[in-house]
Amino acid sequence: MDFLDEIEASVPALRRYARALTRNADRADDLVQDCLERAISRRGLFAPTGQLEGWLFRILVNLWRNATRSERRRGEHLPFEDLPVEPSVPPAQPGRIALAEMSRAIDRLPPEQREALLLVVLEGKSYEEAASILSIPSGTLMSRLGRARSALRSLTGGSDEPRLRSVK
Amino acid sequence: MSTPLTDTDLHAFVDGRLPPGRAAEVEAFLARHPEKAAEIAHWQRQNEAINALFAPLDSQPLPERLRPRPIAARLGSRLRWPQLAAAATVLLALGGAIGWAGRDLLRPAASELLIADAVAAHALYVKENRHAVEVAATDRDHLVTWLSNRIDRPVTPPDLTAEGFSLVGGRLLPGYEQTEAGPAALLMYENAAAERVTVYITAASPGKLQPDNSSTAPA
Repeated sequence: MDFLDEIEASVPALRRYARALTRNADRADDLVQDCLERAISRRGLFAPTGQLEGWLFRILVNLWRNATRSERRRGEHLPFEDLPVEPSVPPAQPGRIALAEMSRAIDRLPPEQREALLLVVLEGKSYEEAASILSIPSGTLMSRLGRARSALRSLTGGSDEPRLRSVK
Repeated sequence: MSTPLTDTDLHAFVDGRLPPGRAAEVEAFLARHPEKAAEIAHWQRQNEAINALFAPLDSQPLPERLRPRPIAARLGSRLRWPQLAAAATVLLALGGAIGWAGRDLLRPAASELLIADAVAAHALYVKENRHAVEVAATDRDHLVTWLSNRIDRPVTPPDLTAEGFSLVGGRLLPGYEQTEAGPAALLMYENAAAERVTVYITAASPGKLQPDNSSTAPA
């Protein structure tokens, strides 16, 4: 499998992650296209000992960060802290989180928490891989993960739920 | 019992990354701490929800703009050139039998300087689109006469049509200062894929191409 085939094998995962980050299929594909162009034109910079997919994810994350940063400068998106807090709706069924509610809650996570949570949960990256993709120490990754999970819990009304035990 | 449980253990438990022994310790801990158990159960449901929302990979064929091969082909002529530039320029210049007197006598150091010059000119002008050459191949007679006069050698553009390359035109380059070699001519060729090859022609002679030996009498 050569370099380009290997890249192609990673494209579906890159798209999935980009869609979850941006919540917009067109924007996600723009991001992935940008990422692929960069990777291919800079293939000389890729060290063959490294993980190709991790390198692609790192490029994607950096492009996304650049994009969200400039959007925030243009004022298109409100920072998380300024969003009005909606009263959280109790889950429709105990023990199940309504997907639409979770989807809204993820949108409201600060970008750095969303990046971390989605890499680990959606892409199944190990904590080390995720930290390396995000260029942060693993302690920072764990604390972002912790904050993301607490935030999602309060945003989806989880703290008001009846106590449930996870049963195997 | 082993080391105390940490937050990382709890995350790893939820993410299914704990070895069975350690996971059993977490379960035992949660059985004793219902508050924490409720939180951890919520984390697990978050994971399920995230995967339900986003996980299915798109099984449709990739759109053209996300396929690496077409992207590479589109970037191709731009990206392959820096790597091939040196080889192409040197091979053609050395192999082209284009009136480069005394090339066998060139010292390695001197030829390296010359090659560096040729590569720099190549890199600068292959990127140009409308201004790649000063005189186009449509004006071939004028091009040949002009360059021959200026570098004081007969210039005969090699025929590369067998290789798929046709002459775009040429330009005059400033001389090689340290060696007083006089101006150089650059011929540019292009193929159907818009890949470009340049031929660098100089009247430099061995005596003039020894930069650390300026006391040598010019040939």
